[in-house]
Amino acid sequence: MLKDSLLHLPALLLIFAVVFAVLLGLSILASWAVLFNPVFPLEPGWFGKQLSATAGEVLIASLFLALCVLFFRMRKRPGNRVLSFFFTLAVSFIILSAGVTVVYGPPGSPPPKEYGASQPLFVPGTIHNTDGGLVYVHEVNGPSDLIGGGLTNVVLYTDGNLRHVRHASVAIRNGDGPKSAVILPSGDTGDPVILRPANPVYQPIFEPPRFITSLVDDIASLEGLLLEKRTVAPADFSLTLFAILLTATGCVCFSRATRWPLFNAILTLAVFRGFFFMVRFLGSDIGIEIRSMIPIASVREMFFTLVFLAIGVLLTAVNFVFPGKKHG
Amino acid sequence: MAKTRDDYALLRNRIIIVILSVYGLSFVGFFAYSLFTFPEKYFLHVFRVQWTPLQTLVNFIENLTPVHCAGVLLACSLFAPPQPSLKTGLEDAFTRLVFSTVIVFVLLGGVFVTLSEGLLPVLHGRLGALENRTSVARNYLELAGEARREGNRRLQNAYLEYYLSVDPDNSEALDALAELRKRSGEDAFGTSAPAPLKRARLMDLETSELLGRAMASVQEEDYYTGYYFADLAKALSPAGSPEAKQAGELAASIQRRLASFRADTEERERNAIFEIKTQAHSDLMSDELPLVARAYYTFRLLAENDPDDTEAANYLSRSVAKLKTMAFFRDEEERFASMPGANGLFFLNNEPGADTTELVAIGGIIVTEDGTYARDIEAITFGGDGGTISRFAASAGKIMKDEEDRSILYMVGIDRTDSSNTLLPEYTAGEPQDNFRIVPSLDELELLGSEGRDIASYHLHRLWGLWDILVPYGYPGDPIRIAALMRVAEAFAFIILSLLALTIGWRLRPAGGFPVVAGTAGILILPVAAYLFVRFYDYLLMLLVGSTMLAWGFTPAIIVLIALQFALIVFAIAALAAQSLKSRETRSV
Repeated sequence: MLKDSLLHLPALLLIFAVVFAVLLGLSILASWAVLFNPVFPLEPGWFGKQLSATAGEVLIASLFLALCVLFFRMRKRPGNRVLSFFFTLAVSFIILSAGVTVVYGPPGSPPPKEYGASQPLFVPGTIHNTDGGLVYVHEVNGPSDLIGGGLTNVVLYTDGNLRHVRHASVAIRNGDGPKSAVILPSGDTGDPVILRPANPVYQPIFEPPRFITSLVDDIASLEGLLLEKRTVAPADFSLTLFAILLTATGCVCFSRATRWPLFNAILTLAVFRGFFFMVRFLGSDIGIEIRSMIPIASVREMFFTLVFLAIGVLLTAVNFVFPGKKHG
Repeated sequence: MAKTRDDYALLRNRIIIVILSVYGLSFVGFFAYSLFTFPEKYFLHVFRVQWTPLQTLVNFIENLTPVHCAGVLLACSLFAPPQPSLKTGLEDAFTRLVFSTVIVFVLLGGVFVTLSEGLLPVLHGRLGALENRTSVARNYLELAGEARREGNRRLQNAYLEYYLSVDPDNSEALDALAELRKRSGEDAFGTSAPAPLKRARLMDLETSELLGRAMASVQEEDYYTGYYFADLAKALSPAGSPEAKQAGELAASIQRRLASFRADTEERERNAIFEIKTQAHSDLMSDELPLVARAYYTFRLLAENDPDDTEAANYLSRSVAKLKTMAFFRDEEERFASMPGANGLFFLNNEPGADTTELVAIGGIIVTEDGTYARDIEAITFGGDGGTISRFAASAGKIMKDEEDRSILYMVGIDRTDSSNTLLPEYTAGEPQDNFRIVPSLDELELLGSEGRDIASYHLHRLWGLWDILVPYGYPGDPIRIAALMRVAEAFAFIILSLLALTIGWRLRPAGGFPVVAGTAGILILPVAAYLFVRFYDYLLMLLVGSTMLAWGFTPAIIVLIALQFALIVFAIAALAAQSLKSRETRSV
């Protein structure tokens, strides 16, 4: 019994390490592919900067995925349920705390600035297909971002009309969904032209399915929220992290919710997805509105943490009260 | 043993029934989805009947892999026969079933490839054509509105007729046309298209025949026709040859004969006409378009004034023929305007070795037996220093081959009756020209339109060659090659994911029979989960193979693709074999 419970610890570490390495590799590959430009190589040192930026982003996702895999081991070899649960929770907490410290520095450090490679979006001498029409760029004189980025002889073919812009600059716009770009004609030579996607050649090819981008966005908002707390109040950060991981570990009860393992697996994944969706909901206008209705200031401040703490406690209770049958 | 055979038959029958049921239900679901999601924004309502089954089939084929995986998962997991005892033959039945199932999956994979590579591009092409026709028809409806505001009833009538040829029951267009005809009278438009003129083919005649015709005309006292044939025979004969000499003498004698008539009053009139004809003939011999057009109008006037004047008719015929090599008649382009064709062409039009860069945009091209017509043409040319050398626009044009078999786009449109209504290109920069060379061939031009660039509408073998066609005209080649590689991967994905679904489904089947609540929920959730998983798998494969291609090129990408597919198939079979082995071990216990 105890042996099985103890073995969950190296199992979780091993699964996390594998999942983290795979997700990190895939994320860097995806970033590289979207930024690829056959004419302009990426700036020197891109890989190092992207590695540290991506490592932080995939920490939470890797841990959740590792937990999901571990739950099925826990289902088959539960050991001591209480010990297994708290060992898992403790190791998860240590992994995330240590991971965040390694990637972002000691508690109290300011949140990292978002890293965005300064890379020309357009391939010179090429026709680019965008939502707004076809765009030919004759010359690309530099990176396409808010600082620099010069285009010469831009020809747009939109709705049957040809438009020529002799000189233009490009700005990247961040927002929901894929990034878009704005071509700003130099001088008073016409209205700006919005292009979506921002990198018209390679971004559409390597655009992840919507359900992945949406998940990545939600995970990023959770990460942002945690890092913000970590900078302002490290103690709050620890409590919030604990609440989140308590909820995540409590989801083990879904892995044995029914006697159909396949359904349990899908249910667990769906619950994890719902967890991140809830983070988005709490950060949305409605969530903020609900929070503002709480009369006690300290509860209002800790609203997010308390919600997850409550859910975590509930799931933990369900986990212990309904232990389910051992399945082989 | 008998029990094993029963279990085998039970398991096999359940798998077949469940998978076929999932196929059928998903097809019905896609049909219902298509029925309620008709995109009026992109398609005319009249196309709804065609669009719905096409879109249903597209959705079904594109989602066949997740549908199939969901079917396998449900069949082998939820609907797997209960396992009342380890001593039943169910595990053996699964082991026996594995081999035949793998064979069936490979065969189904073949069906999937046939559908996705044989039928799917055709369906995409048809949907694209419907969208294209919608776009063109709506454009004409807008133009009809513009013509109405400008008070141009003839154009409004024409545009409405074009629109109604596509959407004959559209009440808005019918009302507008009825109102227009009520106001103007139907006859005012001359709705029937002019009959095509007989083409002159005199250049094909032998010199001796031309001389024979000249002499026959002289005998009939039709001296002008005789002069024309003699002059033509002289022009076509080698210099100094007996035929040239004979033709020259005949032409001179006809001129002397005509000169002798000048004294006569009647002959003076004929002489005046002769002068006009001579001038028109001279114009016709020119290679300058305005002169040839002038000759055409002259001969047309003469032929109308004297329908018996065979000479004027002949010259008119010849001038039409010559004009058609230098320009186009506007009514021809208008006649074909409503026909479907490639739309939204945009391409680099750089001649080999040129240090300039030319971009051409063509709103649409229509290929007919009479030639290839283009509309809404715009082009811009940059010099080596990036400065604009020329920029022009023309509302219509005709693409023809020159003597060197190059495609030339002629942009001057001749009105058959009104010489002041000539359509000319508008130059905002550079020296005006009547025509310009189109570098892509006619076949390539069609691929440069919005439909031609739609990768989904290509069969794999054509997609493979599309790179060579589109890249020289400014389009990036990597997306095409990656799409081709992913098409190959799709066929493998069907088999690999089927095997994995079989393994996972069997491994994670419910204990103790059908779970009512989870089972009911699972029937609804499992297809969605299968869909998401297949999309995720596709994305990962695209990322790995696409990145390899960008980093190291096409050949390494093919190698990586094949290696990955091989590894995944081996893994899937190994996982299935392990499952089968596990079943045997369980049985032996």
